[in-house]
Amino acid sequence: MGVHTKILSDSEIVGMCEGFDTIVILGCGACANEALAYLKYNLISKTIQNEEEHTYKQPYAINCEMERIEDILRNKGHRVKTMIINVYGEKSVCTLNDNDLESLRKEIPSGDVILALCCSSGQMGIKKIVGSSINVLSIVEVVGTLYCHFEDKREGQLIVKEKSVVVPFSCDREINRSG
Amino acid sequence: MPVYLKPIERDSIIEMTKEFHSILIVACPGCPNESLAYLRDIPLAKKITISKNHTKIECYAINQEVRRLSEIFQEQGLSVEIEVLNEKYLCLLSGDDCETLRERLPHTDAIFVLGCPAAAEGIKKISGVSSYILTGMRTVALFFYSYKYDPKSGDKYITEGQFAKIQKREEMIMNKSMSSSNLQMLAFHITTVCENRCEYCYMGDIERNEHSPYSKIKKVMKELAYQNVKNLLLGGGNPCMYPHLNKVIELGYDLGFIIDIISNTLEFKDRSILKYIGGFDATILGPTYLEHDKIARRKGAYKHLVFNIKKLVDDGYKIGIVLNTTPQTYDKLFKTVKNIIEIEDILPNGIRYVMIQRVIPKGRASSTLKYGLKRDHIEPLFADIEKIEQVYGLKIVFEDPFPVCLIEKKYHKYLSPCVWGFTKGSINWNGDVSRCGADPRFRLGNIFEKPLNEIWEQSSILLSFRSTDWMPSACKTCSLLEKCRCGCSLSNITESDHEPDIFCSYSPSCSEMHIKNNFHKEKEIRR
Repeated sequence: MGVHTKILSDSEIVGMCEGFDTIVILGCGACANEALAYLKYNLISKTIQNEEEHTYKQPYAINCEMERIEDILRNKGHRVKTMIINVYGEKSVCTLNDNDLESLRKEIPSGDVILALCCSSGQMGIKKIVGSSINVLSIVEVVGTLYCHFEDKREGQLIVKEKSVVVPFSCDREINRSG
Repeated sequence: MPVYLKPIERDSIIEMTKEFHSILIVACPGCPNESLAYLRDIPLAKKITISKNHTKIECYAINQEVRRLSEIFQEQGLSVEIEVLNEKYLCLLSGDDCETLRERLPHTDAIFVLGCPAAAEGIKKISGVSSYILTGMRTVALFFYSYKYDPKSGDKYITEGQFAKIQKREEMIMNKSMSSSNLQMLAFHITTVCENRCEYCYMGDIERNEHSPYSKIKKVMKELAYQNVKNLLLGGGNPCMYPHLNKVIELGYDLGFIIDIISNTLEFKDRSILKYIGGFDATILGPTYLEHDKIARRKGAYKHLVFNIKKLVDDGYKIGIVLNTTPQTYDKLFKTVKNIIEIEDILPNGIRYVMIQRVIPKGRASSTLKYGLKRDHIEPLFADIEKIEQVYGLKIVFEDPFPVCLIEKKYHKYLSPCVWGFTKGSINWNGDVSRCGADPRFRLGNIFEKPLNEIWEQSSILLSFRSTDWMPSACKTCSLLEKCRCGCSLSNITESDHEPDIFCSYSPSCSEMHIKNNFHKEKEIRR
């Protein structure tokens, strides 16, 4: 984890979806979730209690963002399906084993295009899962790496923005050059 | 955990740390472990036995690197402390994690971080601003990998990795892109010298007698390593004739390249370097020594090559057999492979794949279509290829594509679009870059004048090639476009950088030349 991404503007996303009817939005619960928590939603994961009173953590920021984009696209007349590829803390869409590939292949909803709410390696993972039968478009821009500092609270993991740091790739290149 | 990182070179490490007396190596078990496992082709995790009843799973690749660094520092006389985190990623820490680690970490003059820049920020949060923090890895790209877990041994290892391009905003919006243009492999022409004199050699006849100076090769390789190229395919000429081949391969290994080699002889004088070579390809020009030698215009060429292939196979290496398809060989591909296996005794398990190439009208074959296939060669060619697969179970790799719509559906499984200009490129010892490995014009630019990534991302030739602007309008909307991309864009005699395949019936220039008579038949196939 640690890739910092920024989502494209709403109008850019709407433009990319032109000509497609059914849109599938796939979100990654790892880096992209942390980046959205840092930029917008503060909460990385939310603690959820199920009927058997077991608690688990659900990626929060990516979920909020997917719902928001879903609303926008629905208002533009598209049919929209959403899915978070992984449960927080388990796996990232950029690191998959053969079993993951097989099971995700069955789970991902069908559509005319997939919007990947994840970094470019996540996008590559999605392509690996779905093959070349469907277009996979990334809707986030990779800008650098993110050190994500958080506090465990009762409601979930809350990002501490003042202590979190984004290192842009341009800056990283400078560090590399100077050794 | 997709940031791909490469460790910095030994010299830089020594330079960075020479002023210190004590050092703490802190290693992140996330991206650095994965990157090193991929780079060095070693397991991600291994089960380690601590005592009779105790085993633990160790992040293997990063621990290996820590041990290597530790030795380097100790050689310098530094006192070394080590902290390999096993579960916590340094780029994602809670306040409690920071607190715990702060108490645990010993105090030293400097902290050497094996992690990405975000991990270095994490260490700063733990150790405070007064500590001297050195980063031991550089960010190269993002990458996707798939892995396997072996429950018996407890090993977890990467089975496949792919680099992902860091796309620019404009590209993402403009490209509802079909393919990645993430450069993964460069064909590196280290020499033009070759003992064969094939009539259709793409390198032509100019400057074929002198080897390039090693200093130039070294300069190019260092620059390529800096510019994050991972795979190099050494070609020529015949790279095995290059007098400093050992040095080239050893340097490549040190710089972290995966090195493959394609040669007309596979003659290695010093066999100690073989272990550093990832893959061997050999071009077989015909089914018998008579035909091979005739094309090579060298007596004994076939026997020489086959002898060396056998030696390599006996040593446990697998060889890629490269077959050129010409009007002279299109229906002899099966026979060529059969003879290699049954007469020369090179068993199928010693063959990595059979690679099929087309001959383009460049170099010695420029201005002639004598060596290019004709329309009626296509069907027997594919039938031959299918036979190779069926009889010997060998993997078939198509290096040069065909227009998919012309090929029977049952053969589509062999086809893929041209990746040269997307994930593969070509470079010579001067640092001149070309889109296609067989295009000797090297028109894209020079890596010492412009960084390779800029050439690869901004070259107008490449941008044009990656678009569909140059394709006939019928191809642009064709459902097979993604698998085809108009076949081989250098198959016709042309001075332009790319144009539709000579067999593409929708290209005006091509239909005039070749396929007027077959146009109706073709339409039927399409239907």
